[in-house]
Amino acid sequence: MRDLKATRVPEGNTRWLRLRVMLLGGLFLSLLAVAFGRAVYLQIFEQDKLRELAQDQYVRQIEIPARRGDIFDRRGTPLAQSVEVDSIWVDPSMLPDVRKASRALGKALKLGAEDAGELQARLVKARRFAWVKRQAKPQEVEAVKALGLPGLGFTKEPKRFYPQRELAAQVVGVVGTEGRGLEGLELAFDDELSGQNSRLSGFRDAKGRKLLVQGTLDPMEREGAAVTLTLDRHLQYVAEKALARAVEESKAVAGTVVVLEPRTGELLALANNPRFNPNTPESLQRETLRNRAALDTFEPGSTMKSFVVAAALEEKAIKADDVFFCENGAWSVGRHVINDTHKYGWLAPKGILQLSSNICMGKVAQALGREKLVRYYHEFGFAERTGLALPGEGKGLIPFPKAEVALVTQSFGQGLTATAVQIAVGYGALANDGVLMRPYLVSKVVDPDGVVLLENRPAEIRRVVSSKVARQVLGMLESVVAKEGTAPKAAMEEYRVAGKTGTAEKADPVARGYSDKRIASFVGVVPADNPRAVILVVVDEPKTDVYGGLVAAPAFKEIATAAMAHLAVPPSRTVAPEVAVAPVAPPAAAKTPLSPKPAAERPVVAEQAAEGAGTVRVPDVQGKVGREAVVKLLAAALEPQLLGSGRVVSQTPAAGVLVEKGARVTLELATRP
Amino acid sequence: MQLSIERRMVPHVPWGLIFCVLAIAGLGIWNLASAARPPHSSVWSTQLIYLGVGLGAGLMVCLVDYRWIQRMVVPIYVLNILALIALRFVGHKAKGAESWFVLGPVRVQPAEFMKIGVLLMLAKIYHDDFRPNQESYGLLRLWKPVLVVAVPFVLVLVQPDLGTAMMIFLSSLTVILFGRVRWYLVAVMVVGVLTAAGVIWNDYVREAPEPKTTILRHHLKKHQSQRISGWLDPEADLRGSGYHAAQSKIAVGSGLMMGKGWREGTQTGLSFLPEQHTDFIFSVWAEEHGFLFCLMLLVLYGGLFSLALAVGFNARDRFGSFVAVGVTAMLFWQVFENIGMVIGLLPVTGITLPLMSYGGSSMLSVMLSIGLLVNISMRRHMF
Repeated sequence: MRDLKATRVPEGNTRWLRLRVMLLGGLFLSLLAVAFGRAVYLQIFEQDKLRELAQDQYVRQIEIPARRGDIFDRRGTPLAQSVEVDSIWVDPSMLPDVRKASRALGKALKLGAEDAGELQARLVKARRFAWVKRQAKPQEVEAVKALGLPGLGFTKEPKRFYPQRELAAQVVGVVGTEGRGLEGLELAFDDELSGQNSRLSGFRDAKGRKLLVQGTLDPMEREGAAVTLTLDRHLQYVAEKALARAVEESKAVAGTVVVLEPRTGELLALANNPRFNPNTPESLQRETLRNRAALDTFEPGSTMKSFVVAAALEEKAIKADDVFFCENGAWSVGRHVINDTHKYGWLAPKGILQLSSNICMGKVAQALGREKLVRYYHEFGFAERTGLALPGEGKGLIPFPKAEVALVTQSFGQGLTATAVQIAVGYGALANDGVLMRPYLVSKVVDPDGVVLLENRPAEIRRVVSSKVARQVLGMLESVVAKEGTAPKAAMEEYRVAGKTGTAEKADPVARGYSDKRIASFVGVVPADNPRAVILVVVDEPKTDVYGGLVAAPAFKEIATAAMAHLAVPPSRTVAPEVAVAPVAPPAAAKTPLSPKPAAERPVVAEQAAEGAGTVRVPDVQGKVGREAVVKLLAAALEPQLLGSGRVVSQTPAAGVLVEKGARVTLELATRP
Repeated sequence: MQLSIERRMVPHVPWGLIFCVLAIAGLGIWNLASAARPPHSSVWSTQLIYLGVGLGAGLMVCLVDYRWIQRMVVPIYVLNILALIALRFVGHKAKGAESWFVLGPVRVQPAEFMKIGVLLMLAKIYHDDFRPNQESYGLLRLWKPVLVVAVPFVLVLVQPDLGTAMMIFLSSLTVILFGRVRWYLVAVMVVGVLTAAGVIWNDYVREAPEPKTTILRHHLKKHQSQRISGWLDPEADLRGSGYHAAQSKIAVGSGLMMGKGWREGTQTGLSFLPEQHTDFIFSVWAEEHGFLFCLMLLVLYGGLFSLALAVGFNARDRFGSFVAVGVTAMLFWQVFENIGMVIGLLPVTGITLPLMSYGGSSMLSVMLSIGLLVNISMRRHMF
């Protein structure tokens, strides 16, 4: 102990030692103050920024895709629906061995070598999230779950499902994997259909696991709007079947059918061939996705002749009993020669349409004049988009015919273009007593709350020709389906048919002339005395026969037969139509000029049918509540048969049809939103 | 060797210092109970045991007269060096560093004790080397202290444990400066620090059009360079080099004035904070208890340092003063570096916060240091 005493600090040194201790204390405390100042800065001055940063990290907005709205046909049959499907994802950072895991996943999903390689690349590249398989099948989900890998997640994603498969596929369109519409109405009404994606706030931890989700959502609130079409599933089916047969039998490349309700402008069917199944996206080809009926323009050919005759009659440029000389099949116009398929002498307008003489048609057009020809084409709705709301709808082109030969060719539908829908709509005007109706495809868009976002009602665009002229022309067109006409195959036994064939030469875009390829078409109005449907059949590049009367008319007849039965149109045939090729043929309908009143109000009553003792007229119970309808039917001595519940949406037979007492009336009921 | 407390020692027990230590340790355990989430949820009770063991060890150190320790300094120092060397052969590897001995269930980190060993050895050298009225230390006379520091510094550095090595370096440097060095050495140091700051400013902060002339940056490896850029601008690479710094800054900053509440910290609870119960324990504290409690903790640490320096101030001999100053410097640099890294003032190094962070070796070494301080304080008028 003693030696230690000697080392006692001398006074002088103690002073500087103490000074240094104090200096050191000062240094330490000031450094601590610096740290404190920094903490003040962070917690007081940067607090907002840092708090936001913190929330950015742990609050996750989870986007829940809205259920896409459904697309229905006019009777409520779903054409496109959304179903919930599992999608598989993975957090690759939680996998012990990404390559091994991706091989196992590839095997479980039965992927090909290429897809498996792609999956592996995807997993290796991703940090925290990668899709393994979107919209997986249930058995695939089971197989992946059985692997028991860590970091796998399963999410419900809405998938588009088309229960009617190929039916109206081009019209309805398709949806991509991300749920956006790619084609057709799915694209046109994408905003309405997709609805509002909802967001949920949830906490997540640093590993990205969702910890808790606040609040729940009413699934109705985020659903997309439902779109109801004017298409009729049954007619669409019939049209597609008939068209497919026509295309197949004539070895054509494509075809189109338009079925139009002339009095309202509703499109009942819009068929395209070739067809595709929208449920198998692998099979999709850009070409088959096209809705040719509305999108593609083509030179229509002789189907345009009716409009020229109607225009000439309206302008009194010709009279129905004027006769024209058809030059015996060959007529020189300038340096060009116009040919007919057969040699004709003198023909009245009716005969011109019946036999489809190009030469005489040209003479009618000359009588009408260039300006009026073009004007009337425009009035009938050509060279103008019909406004179907389909993306990329064709417009068609009517160039002003400066040359004499252009005037002549335009009179028989060459040297101008139109879409199939435009032709059908033009005939619709003839069938609707000369009043052009705005065509429409979408009748209603209703959001899930029942708010109507869009509703189309029948709308007149303009009166094109007087009802007298319209009926006169329809009467002439009835002769087309007669034995001597160009389309006897379109004639129906129970209904009067007014129609027109077309056999257009296809322009060759390369050789700048006309090729030997043809577009055969037939457009018919049925029944001619009380038109309920305009049916246009277009067959592109038929190989066996090229004439519309041979290629397209049988398909027309098939569709028309089914349509008349489906629409419960009473048979019209009581008198045989006049078949003779007579220069003078006063049309039956022309003698009573009707006042221009809206078409829809016209009585549906078939005039030639008389009410007998044992028969009753079916009362109109559309829109009535089920019980009310039953009471009304029973009062009329009819036997009601109910399908579904709610209000009556359709009845067969239709109102006004004469049936035997005690006959069964089938009512389709549905609850409307 | 004398294992008793005499009556005359009692008035000199530094109660304020002991209060600060116990208060910080208590808050530390309370905080750990919040910070520790599964799978570490039991760490706070383990820490309680460590605290008990540490207090026991500290008490033992108090009871021994520090002059006996003074005589034992060389064996203690040599033993520590040997332990560090042995670590090279039988050490346990964790997180890429061989820092632990595994003795059954207990893992010992010899570097923690080495820190005290170095300081004791330095104090002894300065004590023995003392001549009255001598000049301050020049470069040549410094060889002994430098050697004493350099050996453990290198041994710890190669573990590799950069953080602890830095602590040994900083606390030893403080002691050496405290022991007076010639002015030109101070000037060289100041110039060195300024140069380093200038180089970093030029290479990382200064905004200049490409090609930028860099002095040192292109010689560094990428991960080294990222450390520096991550420190200076953690937001630039939130997911990579800046992750730790940014996350702890976010945690501290989002604590605001009153904090989010005990066990309510989102950054903590959702495990965004890295190493939250060890290195980044302060950010948990800041996030959950806010600015006022941060201030309180800093005041407690400030009190601890002041009172510890007061022990050195009043020590009766050079050895006591140097030990007190060295131990205080060691504690201070750890606290400063840890808090500095949490609040984005200093680069991220693996330094624990004394008395707050979870860890037995750290707790034990801090308690031994405090024991030394209490010891020196108690025995200031013994003779």
